[in-house]
Amino acid sequence: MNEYSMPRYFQHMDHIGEADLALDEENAGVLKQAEAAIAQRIGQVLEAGKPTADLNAAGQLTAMQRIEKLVDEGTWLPLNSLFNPQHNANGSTSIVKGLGRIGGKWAVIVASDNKKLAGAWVPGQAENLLRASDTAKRLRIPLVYLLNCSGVKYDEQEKVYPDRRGGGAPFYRNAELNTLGVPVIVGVYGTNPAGGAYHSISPTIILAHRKANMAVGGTGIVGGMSPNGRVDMDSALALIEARKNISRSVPGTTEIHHDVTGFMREVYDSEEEMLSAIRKYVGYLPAYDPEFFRVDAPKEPSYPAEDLYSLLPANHRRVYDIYEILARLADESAFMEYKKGYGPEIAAGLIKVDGLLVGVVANVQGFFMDYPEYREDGFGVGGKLYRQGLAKMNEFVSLCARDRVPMVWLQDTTGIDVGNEAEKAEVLALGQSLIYSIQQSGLPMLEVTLRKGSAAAHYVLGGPQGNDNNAFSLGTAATEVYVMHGETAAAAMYGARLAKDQAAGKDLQPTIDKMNAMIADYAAKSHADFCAQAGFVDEVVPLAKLRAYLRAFTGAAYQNPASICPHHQMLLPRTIAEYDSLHRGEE
Amino acid sequence: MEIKARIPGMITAVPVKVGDSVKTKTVVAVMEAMKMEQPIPSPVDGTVKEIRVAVKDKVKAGDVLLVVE
Repeated sequence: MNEYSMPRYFQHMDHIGEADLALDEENAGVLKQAEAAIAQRIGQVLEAGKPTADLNAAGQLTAMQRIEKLVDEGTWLPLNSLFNPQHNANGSTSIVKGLGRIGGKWAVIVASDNKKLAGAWVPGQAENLLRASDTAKRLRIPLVYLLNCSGVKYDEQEKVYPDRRGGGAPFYRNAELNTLGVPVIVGVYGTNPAGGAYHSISPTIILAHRKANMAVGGTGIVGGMSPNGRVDMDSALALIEARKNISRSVPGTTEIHHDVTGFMREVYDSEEEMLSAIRKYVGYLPAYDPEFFRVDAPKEPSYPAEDLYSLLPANHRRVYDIYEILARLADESAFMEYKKGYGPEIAAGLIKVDGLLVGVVANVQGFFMDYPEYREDGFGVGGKLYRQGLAKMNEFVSLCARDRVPMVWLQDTTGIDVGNEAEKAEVLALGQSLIYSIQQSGLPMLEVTLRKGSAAAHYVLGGPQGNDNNAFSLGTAATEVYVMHGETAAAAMYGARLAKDQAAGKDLQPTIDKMNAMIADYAAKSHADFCAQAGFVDEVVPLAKLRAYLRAFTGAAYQNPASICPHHQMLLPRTIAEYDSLHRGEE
Repeated sequence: MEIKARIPGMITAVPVKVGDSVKTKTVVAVMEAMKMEQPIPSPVDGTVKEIRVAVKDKVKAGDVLLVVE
């Protein structure tokens, strides 16, 4: 049993949450039904394409079977399962992606989905790969490819091959990861021509299955092109003749790229052996024992995760207690709150996850009397951001950055306060200051949109738009992301028309109908399933699994950090204690 | 003990009757303000003695909603 630094701070955090919780079975039912629908959709997307039995009969494992054999049991946490920004008919970008532990080390894992056109490049896949690269980069954890990529889907090349963030961008990203000291390991299966070959050649270490190949061009390309600009009977017959010859010599087999060039470091006869080899190479990579960074022994929260289904109202008009939610995510339901009482619309502070320090920022719901201070007779509404909350978050992020504490954001926000009093109170600049604070922090961050992500508040609260910090973002079955509520938007867009039509004595109903259509459209395009498909969040996660993702994020962030602050040199715990000793007596 | 509205709004539910016994945190009224539903819990264990509001009533901050003894 180890001891830990500074127990007076980190082992004596305030306890939050209460046990005698009124269960809300109706709410739990709504959330669980929505989660079940999403799980069913994920199952359909994974199963789409060639049946597992057929692939297995042909001697191949599926992407999911490969992943299950690669990762430590029970550690797989999928990301972007429903991501399909270009609306492919099978609902997939033809990769399976997520976080998993390999021999105890966290990695981002990408497997070509060989059920679908032998893992072809399809629209939206490059963007998904760039997200994998982002996650590996922000967390400095290895990126592992289980590659089986037949190359570009020929009839949609214009959506796949070109563009700034298109097909070739992931190869630059693999180069970038290498320059940053983040290793990329690939296991190559099957036929990987052209783009598939760059996926094979761009990583740090290339391992291959005996039957794999990778080549600048596949057999179809080597076979030649018709110079006439069109196909006639003669060229069709010539093509048939040419194929007879090329089928005997597939380019870039293991005989070439292992035995001759030596690009493939090791070659294996079975899939299982190659997966073992990947585990072997991940074993060579650096990773701290988390014990090195712990401030306490890992402990479960004091209350069950199941309570979250009663605590988080699916009905967005209902308020809830964010401290009760936090109590079901943090080790031993312990929270060291930064400036409690100041900026009451925000809960910010330190929690422990597996004994490791994490900075948390969350919206507080409900009402705040005589607040904000810059409005006469004001009362603040939870989920909105005011001057104090924005100022507090700026300070908190800056201190987390200084103390090298990774951050988790729990969003449920309707926006930043509006009107001239709010403008005079500088909320516009303080919002952008928070973006500056996040950008300069250099910290990995996880953002969870518990319910609403709306207006600029969605950006400033550690949202996925913070490309250099946000490692990935999550939603729940209750998530909605939109610039504003549909009713607000309809009023803004059609309010003037209604007034004008009424003055002119025109029938108002057509405009009212348009407004309602717009409200319905906003609802459809902001729901959790839409967010997952569009990539507004990187996974819609069951509430019972939220802590597993928090643990993965935290473990990954502390696995091989680029910089460290010694616990005894941290400012944040002392600043919190100092503020409390000055102000807690007043409560 | 008088239970008062902290903020102006509209009463959307009163899920108790006079004579009901309530516990601390039992919701005795729900009001709507700023597009949000705000459940109002009893601050004490006791019995509902008086109900001074009905559903759809508009209330001001400080108005007494119920009396719990």
